[in-house]
Amino acid sequence: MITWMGGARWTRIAVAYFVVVTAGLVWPLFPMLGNHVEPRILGMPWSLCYVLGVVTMNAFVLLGLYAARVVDSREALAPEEIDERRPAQEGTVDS
Amino acid sequence: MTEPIAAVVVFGYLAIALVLGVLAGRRGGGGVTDFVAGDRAFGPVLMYFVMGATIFSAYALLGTPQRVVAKGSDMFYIFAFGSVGFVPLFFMGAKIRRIGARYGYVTQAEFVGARFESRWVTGLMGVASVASFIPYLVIQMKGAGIVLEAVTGWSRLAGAACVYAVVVSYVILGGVRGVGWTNVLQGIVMLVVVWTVGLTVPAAYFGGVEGLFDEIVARHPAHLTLPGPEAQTSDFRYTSEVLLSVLGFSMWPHVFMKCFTARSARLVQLSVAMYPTFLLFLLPLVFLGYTAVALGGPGDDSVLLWIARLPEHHPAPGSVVQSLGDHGLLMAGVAFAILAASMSTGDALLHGAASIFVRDVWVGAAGRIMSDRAQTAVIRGFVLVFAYLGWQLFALAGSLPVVELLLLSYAIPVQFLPLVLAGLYWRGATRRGAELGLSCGLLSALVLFSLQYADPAFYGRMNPAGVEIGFLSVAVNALVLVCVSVWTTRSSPDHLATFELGAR
Repeated sequence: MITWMGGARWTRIAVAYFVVVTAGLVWPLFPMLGNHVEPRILGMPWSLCYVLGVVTMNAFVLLGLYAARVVDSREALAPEEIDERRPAQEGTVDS
Repeated sequence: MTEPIAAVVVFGYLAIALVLGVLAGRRGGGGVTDFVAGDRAFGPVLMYFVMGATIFSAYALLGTPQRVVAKGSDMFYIFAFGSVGFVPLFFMGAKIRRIGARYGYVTQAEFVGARFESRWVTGLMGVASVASFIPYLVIQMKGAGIVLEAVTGWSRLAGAACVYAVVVSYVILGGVRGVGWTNVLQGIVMLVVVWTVGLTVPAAYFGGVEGLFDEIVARHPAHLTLPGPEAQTSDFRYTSEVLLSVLGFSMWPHVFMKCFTARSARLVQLSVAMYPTFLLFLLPLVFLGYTAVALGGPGDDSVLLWIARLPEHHPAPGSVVQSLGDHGLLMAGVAFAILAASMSTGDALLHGAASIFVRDVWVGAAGRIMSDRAQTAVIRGFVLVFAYLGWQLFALAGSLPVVELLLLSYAIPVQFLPLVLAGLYWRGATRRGAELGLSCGLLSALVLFSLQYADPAFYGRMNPAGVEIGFLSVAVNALVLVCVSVWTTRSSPDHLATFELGAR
């Protein structure tokens, strides 16, 4: 079970994944990995396929995280825990 | 009428959007929470289209092919930032929705201001949000004006006024429900038209997408990789654009506040997970941009309309495109899609600007006591005020390039990111830190923008690498927030607990 590892751990892994993927979209990784015409896929240049591949991969990862309920899947607090009083707008603690 | 078939389609669409928006607004409780956040009852279909269609604006339709022609693969930065730009909301969105529902928050500034117990933060974010919306709104009006000019021969100002009279009507009468249901219609229109035109045009002239790119590889290879034609985009510049957009994407207030409209916290996450499917609709626009490159199209924001007239100046006998063009349907489809894109973002901006101004500035910061009913009435009035203001600015600034206007707007929402992140995840973030960080970030952005236009030579020496202004100013913002927070007293544990920041 994925949840066996604990939500916080999966959240950290997911954040790390997205940081790495973002790094792959910018300098210095993108010029090395993605900024080429060849190989072409379905006629499209690799530079376009690379970013489309990242879009698709991230969609699957997000759907997987959603389905597995490992990132903040709480819907709401139990009714007895809900505090309907709105927090004060202007505090006095650090003023 | 210069394009009678297209005119019939455009005016028919405007009438349907008006009826749909007004009817949608007849549901719900009618209070301010209903007008601004749809009584927090949006389901998956509405959330999907609201998130997607709100973001894909006239900029996406007019600016994407334009950018391909002008800068080549630099345009792929939209896919790059789009693939991760919404991800922060996957992690934060559920928490934001839960807290918003528990304490009645309907805007981003209300939420952040409450976390930091600061009217200054609420008011400043409210004013900055509205300021960032105005250029963005001008872009949408420009898109509408361009379409009506092409279809009817009216001036762009008159065309924008006609379209936005409809938008203002359904936003005032329909509230966020009107915005949401018209976005469903607009989103479907955009997807169908853009994919149809984006695949049939390359097929008519190059035998398909592969043939199109064979032509580009042979004759315009510089358009396929960075730094692009005439080496316009350095690696550094591209990186800066992508990172700034990634940081600011989910912080746009009119997008962020849609977290409060979702029926459940999980639904916010599902909407983010589904979002990349909407992103892929830009792909046919890329094909159309490369078609314009191959056929010698214009490099300005008229490129999509130039493509709609392709059969007139580049006949393709026997093709579907020629047939569509001969019957005026190609122009009708393109005009329809641009208008849908303009309206789907313009309505959210008008609704957001008015809601934010009243809730955050008028009530939140200035402390005006108003009944629920009075707030809704004033918000409706400000929808009209901001539409008029946007239209007046369009009259003055309508000749500015579309893409630059949007990049100018991006420097502001990204300033909210340090406050949102620190507010949600750092118990040590203090009121003084947030107030000073936000103020310094916004001031830096303002000073740098002014300097860029007042003395470009000096600005160039000061920022030789051309780092985005939003990037520089958000760094100042985050640094000040952290440093000041370390030296000032944090909020009480009870207050932090209301934002799910329990003791560790």
